[in-house]
Amino acid sequence: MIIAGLEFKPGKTERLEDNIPFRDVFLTGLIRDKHGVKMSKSKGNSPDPLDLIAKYGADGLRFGLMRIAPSGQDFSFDEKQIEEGRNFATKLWNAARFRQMHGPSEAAPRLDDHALSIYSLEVLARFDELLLAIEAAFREYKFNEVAQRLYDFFWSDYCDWFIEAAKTEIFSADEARKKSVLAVMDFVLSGFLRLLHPFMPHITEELWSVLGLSSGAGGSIQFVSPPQPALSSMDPGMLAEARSKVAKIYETVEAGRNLRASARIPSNKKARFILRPAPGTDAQEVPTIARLLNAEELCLDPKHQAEAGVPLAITPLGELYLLIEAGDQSVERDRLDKEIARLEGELRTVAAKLSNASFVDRAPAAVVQEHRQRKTDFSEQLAQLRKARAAMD
Amino acid sequence: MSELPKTYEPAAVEPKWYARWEEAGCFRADAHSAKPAFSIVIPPPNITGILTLGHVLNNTIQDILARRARMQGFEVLWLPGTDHAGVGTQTAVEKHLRKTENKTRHDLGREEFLRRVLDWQDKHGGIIIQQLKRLGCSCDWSRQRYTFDEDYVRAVESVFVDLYGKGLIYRGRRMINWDPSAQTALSDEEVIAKPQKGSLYYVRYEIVEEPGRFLEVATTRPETIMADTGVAIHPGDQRYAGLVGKHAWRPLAREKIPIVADEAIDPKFGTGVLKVTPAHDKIDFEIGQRHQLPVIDVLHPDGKINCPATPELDGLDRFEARKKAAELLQERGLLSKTEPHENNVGFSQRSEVPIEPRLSEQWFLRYPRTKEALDVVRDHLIRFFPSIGKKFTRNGSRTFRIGASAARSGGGIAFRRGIAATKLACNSNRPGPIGTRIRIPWILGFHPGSGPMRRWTRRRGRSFIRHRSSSPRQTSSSSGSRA
Repeated sequence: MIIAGLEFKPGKTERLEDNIPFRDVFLTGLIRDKHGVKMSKSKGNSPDPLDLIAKYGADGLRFGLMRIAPSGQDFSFDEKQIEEGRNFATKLWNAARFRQMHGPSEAAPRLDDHALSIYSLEVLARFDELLLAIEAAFREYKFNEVAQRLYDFFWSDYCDWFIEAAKTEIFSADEARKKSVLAVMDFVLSGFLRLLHPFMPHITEELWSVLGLSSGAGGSIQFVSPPQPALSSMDPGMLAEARSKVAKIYETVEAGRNLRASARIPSNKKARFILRPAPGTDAQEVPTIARLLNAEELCLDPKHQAEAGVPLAITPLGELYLLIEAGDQSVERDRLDKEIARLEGELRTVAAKLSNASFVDRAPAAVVQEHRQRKTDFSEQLAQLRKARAAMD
Repeated sequence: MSELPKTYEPAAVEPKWYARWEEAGCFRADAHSAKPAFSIVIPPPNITGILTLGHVLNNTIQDILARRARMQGFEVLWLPGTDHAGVGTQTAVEKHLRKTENKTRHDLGREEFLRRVLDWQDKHGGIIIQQLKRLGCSCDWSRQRYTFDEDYVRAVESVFVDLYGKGLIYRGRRMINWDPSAQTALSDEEVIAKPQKGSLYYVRYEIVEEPGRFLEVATTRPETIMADTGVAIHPGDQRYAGLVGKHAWRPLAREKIPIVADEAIDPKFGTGVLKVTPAHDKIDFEIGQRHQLPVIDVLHPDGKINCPATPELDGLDRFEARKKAAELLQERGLLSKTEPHENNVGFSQRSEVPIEPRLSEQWFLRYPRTKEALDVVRDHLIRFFPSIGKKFTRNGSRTFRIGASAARSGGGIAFRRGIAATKLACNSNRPGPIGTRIRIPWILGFHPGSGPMRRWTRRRGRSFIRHRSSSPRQTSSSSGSRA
């Protein structure tokens, strides 16, 4: 076609640019079966797409396939991946249903009208990052990367973290807080559906319509402009402060979840925690942390003296204890030993870097400072864990 | 606001929305729109095809680009169509004819067969369009095209004529895979190599200039000796030093043939001497081209020997003739020995008989503007994702053969090589209905049976369009020089 364009010059002018048929050429890879063999009808190793559509929906098939098809490379097909496409559609559906249970959505929520919680700011910041990331991936025609980013954002950032954290506000008696968080949910959901629409056109249109996210009457999602960044006018210092708070909270939650996992308490079973807070820890966030930990109780006790053998994690918010019946202590002993060994390794690495004169001299001051801070943190955490471990002997 | 059902059922949501989109004309492009244009031309699926995962991948990508552009405010045209898929459809219709009427396409004649093909496509075609709709593809179906549409065919013909007029399309000879049983040309993919137990015959060719001295040639095909037009050795082979330029007596249909030196000869095979039979072997054909050896065809299309000069063999089936030729040579004292030999023989996937390499006149296209095209890529006016680096310029093969059977079926032209590797392309941010393509056949598919092409050819008083009645056998211009 390039040659045909140059030979027959169908363009408006004689200029080269007017007579080339396209600007970008995207090369797809071949789809191979699980064993890496090229698919063909005669080999019988190619599934019928219509069967897949019947099982997982057209959207599930489209999304599942896009997520595993790397730009220009051959790849192996696995029906499991298409199933994940459908599961993603289900996740989206359920999230929309959850939103619907809490009243009608706002078509074009104005975030400026609300005081935004730190969790709201966090999810909006991640949404802005998502916009940049998929814009960059689209520029390179990396459809699989776009799909993966969309998947991760929605599943993890939006559902697992934001919605869970937001429940505190949704169920609170404070109408303003509730309205604020619902507006953020609508804002992100609206933007996300638009980003996802090219990949999953049907379900996004259905949710757009049922949730009433269209500003005009009954407009299709197809002609709505793509979402714009949410926080571009926000003061960066304030945003950074909010995000740092959230980071500490999420890190603490993850540490608590790891404690549960080590103690083999299923994530859906309530557990009891005690937090011996580090200075400056905001008691106001305790209900949210408790929710994220699926804790029956999260006690803030600055004077807590733990018995030997109680599972402990050193978190940015303080010492977090998981209260379980004193049973087999060997499990906790092993866990502490492993954690101590891990921290010792980290400490060695950072100490080695700091003892390297050329690193200290050449690296930006902020980086060196950050390494020093990490060294201090690791040392403190180690001391606490060693103490807990010593108490068990 | 209706309440969302508890579980998500794609079947309840997807077809419903697609029907609404179509009804509302959401995918229809407005030629008078003030918005900037964004267009993609679908790589048209075969009209008789059914959706494969490859289609899903490919069309989902196009749909993503089209839908994204629609949201970004472009006037989007995703132009759909189907391809007549000459060869594939022809095969399907032939199979059907055999089954239902026990007839071949030859029985029907060209015009009638073509009519049957069109009927077939009306009846069985277009399933894939429904399937693309089920996938959610946002094509402008009001503009759907078919590569057999009359004006479409006319456009292709005018391009063909234009290129022919410029001397860029021309006929040339080339080896094809011939199925003597089905009497059809086969693509390389339809030829299956199978190891076969046979014999290696050591045949003696007397040197004309040195009576009494013989060159021994090891061959598996003594029945084609009458088509030998040379004897070849490797230039570095000391055993035969000084013989190049001299001649040998062809042992059957006795005639002087030249002794040539060619790098393609394997000195380790047999005796290191090859009989060159350009009409019946691909490598021999190439050697023949290099040394300007004539081409003599001694086989009928059905695999029987066509050589009145050797009446003992004339009319025999090729396998019978092989035995008979060995006997003849034996009688004349020109067969020194026979050894059991195993080699790979190409079998027709269709009729499961050994194929016959056969010379056929083929259409070739010499690509114009290849340097400019490469410059366009080099200068990044067209970018590849992922980057293809220098591959493009290295594979700059400049002449493409126009697919053998496709051209004969009158259905279309298929280029077997070259930028067919360019699977999907798309444009962005530029005006005009120019867009994506995948395969070249669609762009240059042609139907020579009617329209200006036929008028044009008549005007010039010659028919360069091969009609069905003329078999691909009337090939070698040198067949008159048969010994």
